[in-house]
Amino acid sequence: MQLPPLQLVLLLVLLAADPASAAPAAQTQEHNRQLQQSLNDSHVHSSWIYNDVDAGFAEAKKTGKPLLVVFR
Amino acid sequence: MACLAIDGQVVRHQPSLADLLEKFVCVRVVQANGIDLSLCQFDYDLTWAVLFLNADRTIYGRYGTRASRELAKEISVEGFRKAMEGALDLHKNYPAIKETLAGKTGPAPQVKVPEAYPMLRKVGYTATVSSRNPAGGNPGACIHCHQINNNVYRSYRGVSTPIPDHVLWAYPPPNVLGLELDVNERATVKAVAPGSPAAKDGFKAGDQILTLGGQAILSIADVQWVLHQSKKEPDQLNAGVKRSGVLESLTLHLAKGWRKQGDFSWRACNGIISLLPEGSHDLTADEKKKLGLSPDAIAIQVLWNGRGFQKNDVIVEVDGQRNGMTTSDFIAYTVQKKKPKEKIALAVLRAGQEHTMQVEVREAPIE
Repeated sequence: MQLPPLQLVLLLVLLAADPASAAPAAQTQEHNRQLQQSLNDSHVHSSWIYNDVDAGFAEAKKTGKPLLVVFR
Repeated sequence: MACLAIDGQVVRHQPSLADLLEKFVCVRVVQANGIDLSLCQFDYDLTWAVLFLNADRTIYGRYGTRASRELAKEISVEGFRKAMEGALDLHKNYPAIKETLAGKTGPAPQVKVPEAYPMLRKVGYTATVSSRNPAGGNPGACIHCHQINNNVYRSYRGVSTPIPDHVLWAYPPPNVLGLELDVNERATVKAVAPGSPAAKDGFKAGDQILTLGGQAILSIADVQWVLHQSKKEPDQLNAGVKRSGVLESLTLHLAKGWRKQGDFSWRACNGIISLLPEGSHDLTADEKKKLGLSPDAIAIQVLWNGRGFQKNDVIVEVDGQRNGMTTSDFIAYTVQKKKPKEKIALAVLRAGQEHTMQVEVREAPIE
């Protein structure tokens, strides 16, 4: 069944606005920020992705840059 | 978190590295919980390890080497910078070179993620770390990389199977073949030990190893990766070297038992299997001479009190054997020839007198 164009737009708008769909990424970010703080690992340059390899791959796909992962 | 100078320079984007770091997406991983072990394969006993990758998960190379108790002897900012340049070169030529990089991804691991190891799962380690108490009790504590190796050991000891040589003498440093590589370069030969396998195979100081076993080499860690994956004995590896600007092809021969020239006694993962977990020292030929021992004699100095040992005891006999055993060989003997809880008869020199004692082979305890 095809949705009428207006309903489709509405569905997309609702999906985009759904806080639950954005929550996991934000939660991970906040968790990692707290983890960084608790490990006293505060000297890391702001451009680094902290403790999230999947986010690194997503960023590498977006930017076309290679990935450098430090395990510490 | 122990201080490591190179780590600070890298993550702070110090000027010596910033121009290259900006060309990468940089990710810092501070615990092993949840990491994909089919992808993240490196020497888990390292204090600092780096993977260079494409967004499609193809590995360009590795950086990070340790071959002794000293923390940062085999790494340098200069060497790391050159490895980064090499990774960027490979990236520039990608995907044309994709097929040549296939060997940089390892075989399927025993488990997909560290917390899936039975012992880690049993004591409550999980995929996520509690930000409130990362170092605290389980669940919620960080899994350290060396705990992965602990559990590889357990996978053998738990079923009373000898731990194979390639697991104990893992990631062999090139010096076991007589190749001393310059830590400030990618993989340039600084010296070749006279009479060594590398010398016999024609390696010379100044050679830049560009490929080994068909893989592009960005670092000493990449050389170790190729050696680590070579489990057949004897074996041979093709090496593409640049010598005085000219490309040469050499063959590196790996004789039977080649990797056992190395020393793995520094590894943190030994803590669960070694009878000497708090440290030991293999006496030098001069030190042996002073004790009236031959150069080939067993002479392992114990550096702590415990398990029936007294600090500075020197083990001189193991189950009736008095020659040809280093600390690494001794650890290997206990986990290859003995089952957990079996006894080993030792003779030690203590204050000039020889004493005999029996020690029990350890089980691998839960952490």
